[in-house]
Amino acid sequence: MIQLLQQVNELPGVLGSMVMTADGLPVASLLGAGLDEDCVAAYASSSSIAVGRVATHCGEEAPDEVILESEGGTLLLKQIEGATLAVITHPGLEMNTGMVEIRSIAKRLHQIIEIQNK
Amino acid sequence: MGIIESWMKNSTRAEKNHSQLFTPGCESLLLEAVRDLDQVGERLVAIQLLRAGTVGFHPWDDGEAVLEQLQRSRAREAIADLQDAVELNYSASDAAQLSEALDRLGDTAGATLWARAAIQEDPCNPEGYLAIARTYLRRFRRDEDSLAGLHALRYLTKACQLQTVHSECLRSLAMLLLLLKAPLAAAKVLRPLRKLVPHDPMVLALNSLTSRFPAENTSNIQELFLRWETGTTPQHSIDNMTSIPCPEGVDAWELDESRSLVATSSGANQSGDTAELLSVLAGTLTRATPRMGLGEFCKVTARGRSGVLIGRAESSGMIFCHSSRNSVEPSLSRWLEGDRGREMSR
Repeated sequence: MIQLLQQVNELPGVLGSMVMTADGLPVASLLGAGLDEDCVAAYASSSSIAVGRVATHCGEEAPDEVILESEGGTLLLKQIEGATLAVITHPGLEMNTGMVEIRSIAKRLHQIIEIQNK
Repeated sequence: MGIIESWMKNSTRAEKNHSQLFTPGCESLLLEAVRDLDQVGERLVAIQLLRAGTVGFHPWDDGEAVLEQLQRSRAREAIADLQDAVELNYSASDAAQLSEALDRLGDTAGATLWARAAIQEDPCNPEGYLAIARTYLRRFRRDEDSLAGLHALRYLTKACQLQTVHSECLRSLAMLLLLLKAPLAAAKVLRPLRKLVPHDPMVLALNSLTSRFPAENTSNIQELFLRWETGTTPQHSIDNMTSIPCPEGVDAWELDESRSLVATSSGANQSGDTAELLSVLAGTLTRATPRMGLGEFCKVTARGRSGVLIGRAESSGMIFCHSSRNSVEPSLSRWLEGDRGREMSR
């Protein structure tokens, strides 16, 4: 899992990444300086839950990807089976090719989690 | 009986009805009873009583100080045996108890380490989660630290999922809900305990608090946290709602700085549930990014298989829009960032 997070962190503009449970408990993390894994997991999970509730209320399934853009950076939350991959990037970064790579790594994380749950 | 057994033992004396000690104005009587119990070696019962007293008489500095002293003494007495226990016969429960004792002695790092070790040893045992939750709950109560409250909620929820009727989990959850001024939710959590341990001093104290606060009008825990943090409650009124001119197939909602719904597109859902969910989302996002160290919130995009939701912070609040067509995401983004007929909506 850590190796896959290292791969995410090698993408241009990525400041750090982590995997957390759906309820906001950190599983594995490689975050940059100044970012606390418990804090990121707690608030990322709260945000993801709040977004999911609105989306479901609008008749959608829970979102697969949530992107929070802020002045100091962008947080991408990619749902994996029962967990979430969180990726933090520089602010304003266009993640076109990076997104393809992140989705591919998320798929591999999904497989790891499935194996661990078996 | 060893210290560990006595630590783990649920004292039957604690089951005695001590309700008269929690009557308002009986603080000194309770302190006297606690000192008597401590002198005859019933420190655990004394701690349980006083812990309940500090909840019932909150804020009660004298009680808190004596409680702190008793808990530290008890932890100091037990620490060597607890350390032996984890070394000789390592179990999740032993690790969780050692974590609790270390936290009482002020060793937060050690406490977290052992609580995490307890979870690692047996992820299905609620004790490790509970030990972490209690540490955070104390910090939330003492320092009014919202992150600690959020963590306490996460770990308590996890512990309660693993064992639905766990007295300590339910007591702690009820306390958290009361700190968030949610007496209805707290009373619901306490209901099984009122049957199971009706004379438990903490249950009595928590239960008496549930009738002292006005009933909350939301069951959304995130909304409760936001109200606790901001001290304000959003007011949604359909009568004063203005209209947002909007592209076809798009629903839009605008919220003001107090998270109240003030404008919607025609046809957009204006129900109380919708307003509350959007209000919680606006408040959560605004608080989340600065706390994570990412600065002020600007924009959210949520992509699902069957739709896209975009929200944007504005000087006067926040605007959200939703479409069931994912392909409109770029044009929706542009529309949100543009003027979008603002004059017409005012």
